[in-house]
Amino acid sequence: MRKKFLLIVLLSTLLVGATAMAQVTITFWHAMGKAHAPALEKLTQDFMAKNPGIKVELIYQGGYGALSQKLIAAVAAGEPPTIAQQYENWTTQWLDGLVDLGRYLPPEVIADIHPRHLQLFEGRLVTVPFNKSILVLYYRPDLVPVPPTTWEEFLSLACALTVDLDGDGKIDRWGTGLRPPNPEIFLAFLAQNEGSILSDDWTQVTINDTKGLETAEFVAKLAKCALVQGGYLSDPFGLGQIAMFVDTSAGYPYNLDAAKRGGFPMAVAPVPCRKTCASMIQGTNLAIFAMNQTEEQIQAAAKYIAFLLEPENTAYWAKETGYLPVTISGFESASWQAFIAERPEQRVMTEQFMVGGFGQLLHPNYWDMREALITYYELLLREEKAPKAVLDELAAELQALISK
Amino acid sequence: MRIPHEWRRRSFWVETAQAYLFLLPALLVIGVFTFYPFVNAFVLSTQRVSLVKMVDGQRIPFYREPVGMANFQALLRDRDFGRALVQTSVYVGITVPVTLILALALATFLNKGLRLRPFFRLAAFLPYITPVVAISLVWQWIYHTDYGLLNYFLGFLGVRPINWLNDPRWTLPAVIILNVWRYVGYQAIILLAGMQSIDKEYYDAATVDGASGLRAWWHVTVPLLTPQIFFVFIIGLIGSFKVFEEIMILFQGPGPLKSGLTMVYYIFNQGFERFKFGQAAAASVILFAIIFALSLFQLTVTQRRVHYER
Repeated sequence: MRKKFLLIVLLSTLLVGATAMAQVTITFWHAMGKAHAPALEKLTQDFMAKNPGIKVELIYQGGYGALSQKLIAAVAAGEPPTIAQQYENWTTQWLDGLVDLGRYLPPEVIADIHPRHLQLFEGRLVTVPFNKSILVLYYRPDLVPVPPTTWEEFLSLACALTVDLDGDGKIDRWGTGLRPPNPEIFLAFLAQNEGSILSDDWTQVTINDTKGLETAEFVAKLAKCALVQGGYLSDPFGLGQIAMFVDTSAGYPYNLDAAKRGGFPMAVAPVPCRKTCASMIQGTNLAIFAMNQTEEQIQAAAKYIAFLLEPENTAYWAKETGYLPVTISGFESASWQAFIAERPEQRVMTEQFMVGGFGQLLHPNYWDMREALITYYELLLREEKAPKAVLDELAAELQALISK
Repeated sequence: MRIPHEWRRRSFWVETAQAYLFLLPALLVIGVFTFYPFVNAFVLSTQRVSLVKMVDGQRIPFYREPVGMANFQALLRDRDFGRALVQTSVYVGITVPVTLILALALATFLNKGLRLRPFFRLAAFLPYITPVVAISLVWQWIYHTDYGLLNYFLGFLGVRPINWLNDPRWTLPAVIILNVWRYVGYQAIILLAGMQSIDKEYYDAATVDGASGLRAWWHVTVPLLTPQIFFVFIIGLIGSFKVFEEIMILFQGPGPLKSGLTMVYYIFNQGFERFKFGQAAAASVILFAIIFALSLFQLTVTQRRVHYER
């Protein structure tokens, strides 16, 4: 009896061991907090149920700041995870350590990535879009019955809504809000005016041309009717200090929460336009690290990424989190179309993306360029310098960064 | 060469080996987390680092190339570094003396034999043992322009609401107030311990000579307290040069128009936000040089003025 028992134990140990050996484990470092994590966990469970040979370990690393620092340390040590969420300007820092996805993802999967989301680094596909959002206009319908559609309307409405409500000489409510650490709003307006940071071939700085100057002058005027502060705008919005503001669509649940706390309605409209209705795409991508991984792990990771890009999955992810779908088939899927038919704000976000979504500049020095953008954007917003001086000095710094 | 007598004893060697064995864990920790990074920072300050670089088809993590003094030259050209240097100096120049003077006053007050002394002692010490992140989060509310406690109380004095966290002129004052509050209790406790160890005879002698009250405090207490004053001064100085976390939490960044950019913030930003490890290391070498020079200066100058009780 006892021998038999031992034999069973031995056999089952061997069996478990054998399946564990056959299983490929991949790690996925992400920054999806409790609002978004359940959707990611569900998709991952579905994937593992379909692919019993692959185990995906989801590892939450905290916010984006913590994730970037941990990735820096892991890459420097030569032991990065298999997959990680990352912004474009992180990717350029460890480009040499990433897998060329063009060699691992089926061509039809790559062809399905929405062109506005598709980004190539030095001509290679090393990332696929994951949690992507877009800048839209949030507003209070009780103060803004008809949302502005042009710069002029936006500016005059913002200034009309900037008021001292209790007559103490201090402004209590601003027409809008602008955050110095978020120069993407400026970049969206710049693109709407058909301007750009650099020329297409990256040899010239173009931010201080006429189009750039018009944009900076507009933003400087807007700043006079805006609450300028570093923190997220949902807090002052909830306190009734802002009537409308441009923010990423990913902020929707937070902004809605704030509006509820403040006891007023909130709605979403496209960003007011100029020559075009461009708006900047935000959010991170996924990449696979080649360092410290076996060929099996890389293939398993590519399979997982392809799974996340399947139309029903990207649509599910977008529905649950408020991010955008990332593939053509995802946008066109019946479930996404049905979803936006009953959610007007989601329809606005999708349309905003389709009309004018554009992504980050993929220059290898964009990290430093963005730091310079933030510095000078803040000088502009806080009226420390005239628009022309801001752009000329910024251009000089960017010029030095192009050639570096 | 004469061999020391003890060396011939076997027990001497056994005891020495045992002593080092006991020291080993501490040495390991200090070696790995203090000395190695310390030496490495010097080396790194003369190198340029790529997080990963393809060299002959091989991916090399943390690829280092020597660049000589280029990182230091880049620092000299960087306006932000100059700003960090100036702002840190202003911060240290105000925080250290103000904290010390207030701590001295508080210690004198606590030394008066109050009935609730244990309570005050605890109250003064609490800010020091509370994690700085928690403190900063609380002060974020205290400093709120419209709903903050500080502006509320200042309102009674007829002061108009100050935009503590969003006005570049008030950034350093906000950080200084927070840190004076945080360290004053700790410094006062150390000074208080010093005061209580001063022999009563000195005061009796002073009374006989006709000095009491403030004069006895100035001519007896303060001179005999110089070792403790010197200690808290040095500790305060070094600690103040490293100010960083409270700014990070209070302002969620370097403050409006970078008015809260300090040396350590600059190092953090260069290294862990901008991937420029060489330049970050160069800045930390300079910070080290400054603190080291100041400590040496303190040591030589104040040594002549420090009175030790016999």
